[in-house]
Amino acid sequence: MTQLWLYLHFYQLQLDKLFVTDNSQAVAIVDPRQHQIVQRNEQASQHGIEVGMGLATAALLHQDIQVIAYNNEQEQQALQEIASWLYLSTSDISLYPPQGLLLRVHPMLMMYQGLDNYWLAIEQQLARLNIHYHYASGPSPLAARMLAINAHNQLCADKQQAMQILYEYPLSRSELTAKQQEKLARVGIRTLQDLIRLPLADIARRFDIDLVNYIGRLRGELQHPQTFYLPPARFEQQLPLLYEIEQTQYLQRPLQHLFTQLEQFLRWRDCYCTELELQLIQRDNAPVILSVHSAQGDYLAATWQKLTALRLENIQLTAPVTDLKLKALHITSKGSEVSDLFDGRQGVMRPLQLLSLLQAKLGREAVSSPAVADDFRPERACTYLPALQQADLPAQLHSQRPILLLPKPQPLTDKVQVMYGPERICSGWWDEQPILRDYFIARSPDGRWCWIYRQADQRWFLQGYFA
Amino acid sequence: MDFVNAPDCICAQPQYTVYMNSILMHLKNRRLIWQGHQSSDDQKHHWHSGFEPLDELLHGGWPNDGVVLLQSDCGIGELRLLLPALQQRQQQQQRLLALIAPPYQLNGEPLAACGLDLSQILLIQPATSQQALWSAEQCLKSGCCYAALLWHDALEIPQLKRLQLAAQQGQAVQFILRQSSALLNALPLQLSLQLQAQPQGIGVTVHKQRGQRSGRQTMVNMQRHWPQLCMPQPANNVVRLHQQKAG
Repeated sequence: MTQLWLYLHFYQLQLDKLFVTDNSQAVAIVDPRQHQIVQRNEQASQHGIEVGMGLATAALLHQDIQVIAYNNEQEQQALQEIASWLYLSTSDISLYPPQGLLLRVHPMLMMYQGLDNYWLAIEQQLARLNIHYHYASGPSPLAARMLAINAHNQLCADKQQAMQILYEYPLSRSELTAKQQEKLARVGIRTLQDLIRLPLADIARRFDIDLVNYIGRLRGELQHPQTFYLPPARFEQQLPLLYEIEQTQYLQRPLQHLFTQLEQFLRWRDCYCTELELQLIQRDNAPVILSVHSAQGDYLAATWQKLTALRLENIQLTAPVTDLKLKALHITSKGSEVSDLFDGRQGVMRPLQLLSLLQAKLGREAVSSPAVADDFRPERACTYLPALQQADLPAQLHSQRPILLLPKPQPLTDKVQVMYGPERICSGWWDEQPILRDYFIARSPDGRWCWIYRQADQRWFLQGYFA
Repeated sequence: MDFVNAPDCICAQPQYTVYMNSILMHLKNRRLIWQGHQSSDDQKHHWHSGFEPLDELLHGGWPNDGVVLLQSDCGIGELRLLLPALQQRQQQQQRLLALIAPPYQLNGEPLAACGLDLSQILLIQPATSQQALWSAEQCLKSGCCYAALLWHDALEIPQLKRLQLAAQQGQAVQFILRQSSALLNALPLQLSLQLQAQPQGIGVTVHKQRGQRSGRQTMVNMQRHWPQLCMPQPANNVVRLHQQKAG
């Protein structure tokens, strides 16, 4: 089968993706490095602003122009979106960032029964995206690309005909570098036609290998490998239940089925999943949505089942469950795990696994790690971070602080004996929660070591215990 | 007094005709005899508490695994008694410390000040006491915690047995801090201590220690570690400024 490629060139992708509310506004995208207009809309074009114009010239022509800096990443992102959109209609898509997509047409012709039908399907998909593009087909990826970039906008299955059009282009329209073009111009080669007429062996002798590769690939005589777009991995499965289930413990069996599928999915891709969403779809009621986390990430069905069982323990069903839906929210690649074989103690679990287990049962906020904030006020200094998270300690730690703090200072009612102090803390005048306290360490008659303070109004409070 | 731990060994070999002493020696060599004054573990495997009188009282220090019950009022220095040991073991083992259901807010600053790595501490605040016990068991069993501190008042034998097994499995120590002072000698514990406030520190009484006599006492002086948290020594040449505050 002869090869046929289709190239789509989105020449104003960033502009098309821009959300413009006022259609009469002239908008231009400017390359911030060269101060040149790279994309402009219809209104700007009516004022005579063209691509390649300097920013100053454009501003002179129309002073009310809206200027936006060119953003390569935005275009690449948009290109990914278009590729995933087109993936519904065609299988082999190759990304040519920032503005191009190459489609391999010839394997699809059998399914669509002809180029016309195929193009109709692609055109309809693109029409919904509402973007501007040039297109062209060609017998090789480079030929299609060159024709599309030069706004050929025609499809042609015939190889000879397509190449004929291509050969009439001057070299300046090809992707050859300026240096290569100059070299060729010196020996009188100005169009592709002139270049093609030379045998490849001769070109190889006189010019560098890049040029030979380019010509060979353009004519479709040399292999031009492409990496094709693969949609990101997603796992979403719905399982209708044969019987309605009213108690959560009976969900384990059908869940096992889903988790086995998940395990297979992750194993094939050599991935871990760190977050799952489980939907219990109830009859006549809103679905119950659970999210199950594994801090370390896991693929084993048994582990996920255990974590989910813990989450389900806390769920009260209000109506019978008719369907289960499992969705993998975060899929990550497996990190390498290193542990010392001769370390002796081989733990059953890793800290992150233990954390997932605890969080699954108790809730995410029930597990934390203590931390110290850089503040003199004790209420502010005592903070908590998500568990096992490393944080910087303040430069100076106060040793005379109690281990246990009351959630709120209580008025001091017991008779205590002051043993140490005072330590005055006067702080917080900048954020409207000022304190002025004299702290003392005191001992109650039954031997408890208390942290007490006196306010400016001579009232005494108990704030913690030196446990 | 020597105590023969495996009498069936003697019965199995009736033709044994040598003297009693040599039988004992033989059994001792095969480690079938346990002597009351020996501690069941070797000294070097113990986990020093950081306080000499306490190490002496416990014959070497805290046990390496199992459940340790501390009966104490809250705020007399019961955690400070553990801190040097916890800090030392965190450095040695690079494992986690779980603090489960503390009665008040836990303040990280004094823990960091005595050298504990706060990011290696799991602070668990379960909603019910049942969940607290479950968390403790999971932490111990996981093998990634070297110790778990649990504040819990109502303990039952089956729960303690589970914790004891989990602690042995994960080579961790479960410290249980308990306020009520009812005696619990029959519980399956590795070690049970009663702590009393003393002017210079904490008075420790052994209620139960596996393989040891109970009822021994000592006084742990905290003057060196926390000089501000000790009553001044009554000395003749010092005039004490006595500040008394009426609430």
